Amino acid sequence: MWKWIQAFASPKNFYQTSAKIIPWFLYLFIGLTLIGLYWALIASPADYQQGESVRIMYVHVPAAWMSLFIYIVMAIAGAIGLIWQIKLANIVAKVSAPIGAAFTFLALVTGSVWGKPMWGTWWVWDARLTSELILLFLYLAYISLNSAFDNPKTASKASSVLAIVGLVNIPIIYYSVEWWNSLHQGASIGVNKVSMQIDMFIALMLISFAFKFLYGALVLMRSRDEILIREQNSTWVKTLIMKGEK
Amino acid sequence: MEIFTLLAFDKYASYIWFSYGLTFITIAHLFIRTKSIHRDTIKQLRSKYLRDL
Repeated sequence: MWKWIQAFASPKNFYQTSAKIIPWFLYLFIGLTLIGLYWALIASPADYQQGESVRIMYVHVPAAWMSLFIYIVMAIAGAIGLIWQIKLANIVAKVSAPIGAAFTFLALVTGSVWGKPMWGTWWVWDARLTSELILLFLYLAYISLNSAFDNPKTASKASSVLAIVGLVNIPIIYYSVEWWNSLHQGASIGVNKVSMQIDMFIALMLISFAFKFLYGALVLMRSRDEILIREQNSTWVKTLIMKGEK
Repeated sequence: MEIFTLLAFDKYASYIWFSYGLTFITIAHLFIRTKSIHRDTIKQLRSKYLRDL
């Protein structure tokens, strides 16, 4: 297993293998999105309390989940890069940051758009909303710090430390609705409970998995470019570029 | 006609369509940006190698 990981993690192998995986991730993303949209906008019923506005949840909740998931991936990849000096881990952490920031932005804005008709306000300085906003700032700080150094090794080290320290914000976001009095509703999906109608759950899961595959495809696509830049002095990159391969 | 009535979502329509529209724009932006980074990387490396020849 370790040998396989080491072989796959070599830049050249990763570059070649990822090219075969990306189209499948994109097909799955498109397929799941189309079915998910049907379920979210047509098949699922209106909520008995929220009415039709519950449909915003089918993009808001998966986006919020992605914001946490990507940050955890980024911090773990950063830690692997720091400890085992695996170049690919640093690359994954670096390319994940803008994607994570985009999903966090999406979660904040769609949450705010849902909050206006439901709570009567666009924003409250509530624990969940504030900690999610801090997550967006952490992503932006990571991106800024990573681009502040010319040497990619120094940039990776500094930004990985930031990502690992920022990891403390993840349980704060998740448990904020339990730890503090919050306007934000608690989790409807837990390890052993699903307190929602089945059609709503299906819509949520379909879009959530669609976002996962999109993230997978984008990370692979962006990692390939980062590999080309970092390995530009190696023969295989020169041959590849001069042959006009993509 | 029935589908349009179904997708009207009474008084929440503008909030719902704005959210889905923004999601579409964000995803499209991420995808287009990724593609343009790839194009720029290839162009930049090719011109570097041609200069070095």
